[in-house]
Amino acid sequence: MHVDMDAFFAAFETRNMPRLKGKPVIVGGDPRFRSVVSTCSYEAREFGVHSGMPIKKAKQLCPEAVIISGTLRGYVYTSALLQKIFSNYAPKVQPISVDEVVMDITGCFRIFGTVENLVTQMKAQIKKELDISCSVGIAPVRILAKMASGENKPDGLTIIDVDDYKKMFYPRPVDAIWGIGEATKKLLEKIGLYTVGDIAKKTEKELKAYFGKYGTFLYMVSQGRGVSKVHSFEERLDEKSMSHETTLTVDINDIDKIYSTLLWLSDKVSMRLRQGSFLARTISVKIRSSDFETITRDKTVSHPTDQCKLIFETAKKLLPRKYGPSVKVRLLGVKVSNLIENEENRQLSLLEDDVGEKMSASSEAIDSIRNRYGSSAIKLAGTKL
Amino acid sequence: MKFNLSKSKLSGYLQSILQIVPTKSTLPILSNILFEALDNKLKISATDLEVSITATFECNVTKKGVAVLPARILFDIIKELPESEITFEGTPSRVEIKVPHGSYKIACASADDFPKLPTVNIKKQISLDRDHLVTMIKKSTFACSTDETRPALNGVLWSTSGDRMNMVATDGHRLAKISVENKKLQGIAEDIIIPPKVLNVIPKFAGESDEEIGIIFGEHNIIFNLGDIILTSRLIEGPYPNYEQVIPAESNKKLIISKEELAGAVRRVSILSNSLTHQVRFAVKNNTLTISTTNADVGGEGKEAIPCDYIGDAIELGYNALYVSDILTKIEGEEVIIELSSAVAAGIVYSPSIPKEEFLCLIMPLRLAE
Repeated sequence: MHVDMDAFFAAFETRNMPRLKGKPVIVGGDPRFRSVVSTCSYEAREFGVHSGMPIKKAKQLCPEAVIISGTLRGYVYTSALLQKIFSNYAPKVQPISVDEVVMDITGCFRIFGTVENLVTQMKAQIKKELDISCSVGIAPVRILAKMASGENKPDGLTIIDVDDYKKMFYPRPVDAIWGIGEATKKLLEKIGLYTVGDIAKKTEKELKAYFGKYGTFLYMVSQGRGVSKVHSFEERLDEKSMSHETTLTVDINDIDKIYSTLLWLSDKVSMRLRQGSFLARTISVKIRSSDFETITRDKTVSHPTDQCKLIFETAKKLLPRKYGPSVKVRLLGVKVSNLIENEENRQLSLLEDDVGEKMSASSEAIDSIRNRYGSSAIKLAGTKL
Repeated sequence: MKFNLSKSKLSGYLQSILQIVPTKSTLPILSNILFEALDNKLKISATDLEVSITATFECNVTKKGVAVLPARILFDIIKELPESEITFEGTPSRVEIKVPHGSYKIACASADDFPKLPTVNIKKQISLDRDHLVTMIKKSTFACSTDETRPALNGVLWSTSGDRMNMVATDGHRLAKISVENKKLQGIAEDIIIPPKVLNVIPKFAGESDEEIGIIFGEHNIIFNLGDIILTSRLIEGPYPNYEQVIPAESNKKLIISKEELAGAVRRVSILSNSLTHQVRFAVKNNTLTISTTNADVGGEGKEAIPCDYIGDAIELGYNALYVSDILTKIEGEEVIIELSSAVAAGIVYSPSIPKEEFLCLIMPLRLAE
């Protein structure tokens, strides 16, 4: 079961200021600056205002709207109260964000007689205690529940099984699937997939050939089957590069210190690569001298890597020799780009047995120590200078 | 310093020298050429610290001296001049280049800053047929690695055993091994690793095919004596990985296919492959090789089927199209043989007309998304 609070921030503000009731309310940043709509009341939505829209544009569409900057602390507090209410209705409640939860009601709905009874009672309690409404979606798997809760907003309840899902969603455009945005939609349309039903006609293998791991996600969702959380394809498309740079506390010309800083930066970048399971093809360094001359140099390696050692060695070689002995360095940066997914399309190696494997094994060990005890729990010896 | 020589003579040598001058260097002095006017001889040198080149040739020298001139600028000026006699005159700080209708003046870099060219402790000296050496170079250097983690792979392994010599290069993804017979090699048994840069320069120097190239083995250097041009290169320290153990001893699948058709299909299909991985899929079944690819970024699919002779079970594997294309350009003859064993093992590529003991390439697949 997926529960989504209706226009949560706006509902919260309206409840606290009853004079706003029935008026278009927009919650977002300060309209004098560049900011966007966080959420808005259903009255405002009628004017075409939606989340993510620049406040300036929202104001043009709906001049009489009341714009509120929002009080994060209040939302978090109310969210905590909500969690308490939810826990009365199901043993497993997993908050997804401040205004959304997923609840596993398998079995436990019987305490309330029927699913409908459970939902009616829960909604009544929320209304009574917090004066906020919510929309509920119920389905065999969570992603379908999430998609169902969006069906009858506000204050709705939608119960679907896989057959209902197919009937309802197959004729709709691909972006009816949760997680598909503009970019993925365009990609799907390029290969002739316009509706959810079109995706469902493809085999998992076909979708994987195009989208890698995300292909499995598309396949599973289109079939109405459960999926574990995956990064959206767009998120991955957006990851074009990763970089870290640092302005040194004092300008340095000690080459060992410069190398030590490069190593530290390479370590940070390589850790991010491994976290996102990416490999980088291109490695760049950026150097700013004490007289503010900035240069960048890059190199594309033939073995895409997520290993600190390779990134560091490459960065070190890219560093022009004049830095250090004769020119002081003010800022150093390491960037990786041309990223590819680690799991997919992996070039196999003739000689991987020795160096490469030892290197990845030690990186893996370092990562697991850092995940458990924090990023400063273990450091590369060379970064201690 | 004062000397004069013809445009064509100078520009010929400059062109050779320019191949060693680094285009992007971490040390600015390396983008210059050292001119040394000696007794009726001119010596011009360049280095990138790894490889050095020196051309020494006869020249009318009126006043001895040295000058360090910017390579690119000098070459561009000389290249544009009409055929004529050119006179160089100047001091170590500035040189005037006198041509029939005018003159060009260029500031020099300090000769003291120019790196000293390596001196070599000669260990051994041999001479080799130019043809032999050039063939070996052309068929091996392409497979060298350019990554920094395993320096040994950045070079070509040159080994000798009995009266055979081998050149091997690999970047871990593909490997090339060429072996030729040469009676003169008796007694040389040490393996050395040579940077490909110096090797790649050798075929570019014109020379008769029956000419011999003198080779001097130093402790840390190797010298190639091409007559008026001397190339010196640092050697890479080993050990070189045991490449012999990665050459599959046997394989249970064998594909014989037209080289031209295969190369053409790979080139075309790869246009739609992922621009970073260049992955193409090879599927072999019933005497047909199907090459295909998909690309989400452009919403594209490409597929071509080519008839072939195939012995073995059906197999599907992924390859980097660039590696396949590179290797095919090195294979002689109209057909190519590819021996395979599994989708995650090295394939052996060679020509039906040359035994694989003499020339073979290995290519590792890309793991396909299943």
